[in-house]
Amino acid sequence: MAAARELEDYLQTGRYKDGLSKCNKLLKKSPANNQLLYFKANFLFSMMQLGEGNQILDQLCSRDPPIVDLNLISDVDELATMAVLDDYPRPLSNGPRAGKLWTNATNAAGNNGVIAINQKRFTIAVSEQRWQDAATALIAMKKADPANKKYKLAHIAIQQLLSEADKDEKVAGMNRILAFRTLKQLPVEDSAQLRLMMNLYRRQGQKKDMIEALDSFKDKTDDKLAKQIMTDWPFTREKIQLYIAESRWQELFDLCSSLLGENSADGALRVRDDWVVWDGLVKAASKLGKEDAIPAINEKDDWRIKRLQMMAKVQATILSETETDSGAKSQRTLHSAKEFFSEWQSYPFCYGDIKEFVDGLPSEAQQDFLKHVLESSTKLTSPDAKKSAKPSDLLTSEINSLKFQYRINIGVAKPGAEVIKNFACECIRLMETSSQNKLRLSDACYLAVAALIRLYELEQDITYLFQAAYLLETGPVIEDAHPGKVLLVYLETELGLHSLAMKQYASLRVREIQQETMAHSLLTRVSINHPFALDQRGEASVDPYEIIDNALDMFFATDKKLAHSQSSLMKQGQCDLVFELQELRDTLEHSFTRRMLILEQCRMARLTDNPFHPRTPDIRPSVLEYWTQNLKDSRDYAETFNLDGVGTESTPERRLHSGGKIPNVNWISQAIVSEDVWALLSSRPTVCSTPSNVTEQEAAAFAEAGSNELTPTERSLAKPWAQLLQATKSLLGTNETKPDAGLLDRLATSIQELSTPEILGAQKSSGLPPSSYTLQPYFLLLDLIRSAAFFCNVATEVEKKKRQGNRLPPQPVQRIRDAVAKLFAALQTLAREQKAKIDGRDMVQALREGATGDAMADAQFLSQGVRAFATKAEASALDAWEGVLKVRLGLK
Amino acid sequence: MSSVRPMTPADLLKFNPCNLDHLTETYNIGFYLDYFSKWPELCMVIEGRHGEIEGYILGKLESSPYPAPHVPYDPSHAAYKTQYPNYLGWHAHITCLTVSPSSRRLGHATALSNSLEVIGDRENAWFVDLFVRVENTAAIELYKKMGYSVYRRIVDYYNDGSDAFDMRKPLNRDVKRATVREGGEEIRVDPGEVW
Repeated sequence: MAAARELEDYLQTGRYKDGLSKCNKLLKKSPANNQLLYFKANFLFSMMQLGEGNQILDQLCSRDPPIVDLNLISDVDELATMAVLDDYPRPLSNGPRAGKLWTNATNAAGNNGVIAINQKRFTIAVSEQRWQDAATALIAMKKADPANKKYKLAHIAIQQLLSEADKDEKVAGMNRILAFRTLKQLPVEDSAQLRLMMNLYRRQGQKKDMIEALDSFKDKTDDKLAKQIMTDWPFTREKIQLYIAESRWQELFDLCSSLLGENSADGALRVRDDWVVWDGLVKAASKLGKEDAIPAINEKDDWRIKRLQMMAKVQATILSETETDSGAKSQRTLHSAKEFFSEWQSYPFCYGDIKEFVDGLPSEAQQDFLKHVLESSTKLTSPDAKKSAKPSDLLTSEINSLKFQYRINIGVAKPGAEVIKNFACECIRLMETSSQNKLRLSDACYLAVAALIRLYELEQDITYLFQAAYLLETGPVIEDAHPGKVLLVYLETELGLHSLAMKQYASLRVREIQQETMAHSLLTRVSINHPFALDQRGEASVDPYEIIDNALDMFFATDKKLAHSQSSLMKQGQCDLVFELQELRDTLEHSFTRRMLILEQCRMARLTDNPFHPRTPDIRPSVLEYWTQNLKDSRDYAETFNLDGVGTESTPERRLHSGGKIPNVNWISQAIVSEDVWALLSSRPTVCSTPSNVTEQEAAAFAEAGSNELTPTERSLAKPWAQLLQATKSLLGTNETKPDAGLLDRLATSIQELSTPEILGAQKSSGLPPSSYTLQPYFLLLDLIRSAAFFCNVATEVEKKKRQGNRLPPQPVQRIRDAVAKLFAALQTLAREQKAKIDGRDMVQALREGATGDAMADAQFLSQGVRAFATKAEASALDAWEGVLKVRLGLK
Repeated sequence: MSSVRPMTPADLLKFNPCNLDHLTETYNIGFYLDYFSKWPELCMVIEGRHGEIEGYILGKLESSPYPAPHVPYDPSHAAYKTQYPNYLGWHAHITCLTVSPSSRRLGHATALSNSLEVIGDRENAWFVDLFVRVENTAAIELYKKMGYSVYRRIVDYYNDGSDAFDMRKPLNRDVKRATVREGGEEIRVDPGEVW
């Protein structure tokens, strides 16, 4: 109907008030029209007039005769969801009211109608993760079609999901038991059902039952399904892991021995090249004291099997429980590691396979190992070596040797700068030799870069990072090696060369689901690195705002697709994948990256005067706990290399991330305060439905708690932001507590005390790249003083209106105005000075500086691109400072 | 030090080592979900000792979406040699096979495709096929070593105008090796003829 289309249009365009008037007009003619009542309730909910909206909703849900139009039922159900959207924890049902709507419709429908109505209800409920409603819909379907097994299986899966989501432990436990028992009673008819069983038992921690389920097929030799399961590698692999988890060593030993001894007859498992079997054998043998369990190599086995067998031997020496003398054990491990290196030094995997075993050796044994490595490894740089082996093998051997040297002599020993410099120079020379032999530069480059990053951390000299960036540009980037490109994004960001970092990031083609794991690499603090679009002459513009928008689109779209898959699979009775889909849904829903990107976009909009539609409603329920609790962090910080060897905590990505300050929950809390100030002043919704109410003390506390995730400037601004928030709430009359008489004075003083030397440090202007460390404080200060200026503007308007009760003492506001204007002028002057000093010639010089610079100067392969790189870096540095100068104060 | 296991949706959060490489395409989530739900056993990863994904394969089992023109389907029947050479009998297809750059030349591609072939045999498929860019000589050589041969050349198959080779490996059911042929490089077909 035309009226419905018109009303829909009012909803879509947010013209709720006009829509409501139109609706009221139409309702006068047909007061009982369900669709008009639905629109009226929708307008009321959208305008937060919940009381009247709920009354109409009650009316619609208990209509007699009931509503039977499935589309209208779904729309009304959606309204019922809107009414509880911000309830936290999220309800598992949208309540008895909506339940009545569906039940009445079900009762009024014939048998076929029951299935159609409840399938619809089920789909909507799954999409909104209302597992209680989904279960109710399934019960209705089971009742209508009791012989249908797929509803039974779906009900089991839903009961499990319900048990995981329910906060009431008693109810959750009951659902868990029901799911378990029902599934156990159903005969397994196919491998999908067995997978469902294994997944459900795994989630319930029932490992014994998992083994029992798998073993139940052992003796059914004539059964086709049993034969398939017994020869199916995933189930066999599962069994090995279950035996390990349950310490069933003899069964594990028997299974792995027989698998390794098995011939690859037709249809049998081919597992001799699968590490899980060797690992299982070694673990079982060590527990059972069977020293000689590892089978010998036969003539049919290729080098891959030999590698696994030798690796198993190394592992066996470590795990051996018969050898109790730790010294003797170390000696055996050392011997195995030496043997392994001698055999596999010319293979790229050699270092990775045994590095952790070498880590476990005492330092003397490590040096002994290193001596062996140095003596036995071949070298590309040695003039005679090429006669005996292929250059690529020589290079791999030398790389493996250097990796162990780095790990032991630099990563573990943490020596002085000279040792590291010599190492870096050696790696640069190896790059040169590789280049002459037309071999890959990447591996030698990573070693040199690892050393240069160490030197940067040791001497706080940005020159080393700049040299590292040039090496990466010259080797891995040309070779399209993504670890080099990823690291270059971090390096260029840390150098303050953000336009280059953005282009490098674009070359990685991070798409779709990768946004969850990789977007942070460029987009963490992007709003205080490069908030403006990059205007590339003659090329398409690169806009960080759009990059974030694209990343955020993925979360919504992916959840929809995952939900759709879940409900269609369950409707087909194919439930084995449902839990894994739920894991991914949970990860994306509670994603740290998602929240961080939204807040980055908010700040970017604040700094650039972007006419902005915040994406904050994407996070529902709109409560602070949902923004900050139970977050899932999938950020990938291990995509480059970690030669330092203390887990992912010490990867270069982490260390280069604003000096290791990686945003987390305290960062989110602070970012919400800043955004709420701006939102309140511009009369738009705050991040959560209730604005922040952080006090100065609380702000100081989370700044203190967040010392590992907030930079010094971020920490020092926490208190002024909290003061500004409270002052804003006071000004607008929205503060919950009594206005604090001294608050404005304290805010004025805080801003006056934000002296540039203290916040910006004793910055020396130089021709070199600016560094994020230098740039970020400018934007952070600008964000605060722009918000303070906005506050002053609103305060003036309020003053003009002379609103009773909200009048502010004029003197402190004037002090804030003065302080803001002074600080802004000072920042601009400093930024202009910094920009004026940028000089590509200094950058060329930096690439030639020190021992590492000398080594680079001697390398032929590096000689061509120096000037071009410096020119590019100069333009990027100028662009970075221009960004600072683009920010306007906006003080009226 | 790797092991083959089924690929799951959560693996999409761990596949950067493969998918950041410029040669590997990242598809939209619906693509992966389609494979996980329809052919869960043909989606496998090969993981390293610490659970890192070193490679993965996505495959499917299907035949041409129209009935066999001559029943029962037998690739050695003359009709399928001459009249209907592009009809695809029940077969396994490798949609995506990728190994992270740092784990190449370790036999991972062979291990993954072997696992897929085992299931193809179990499901009584006639052959396994895959498409590869004609310029990707390294991959073509690898597939040849694994027993694949070129069945036909699909002209203008990729968006950028490149041709693809359709490569096949017969499975146990094809005792007469009738699903493969010599000189497939020279047999050109239009993308419209390919399912």
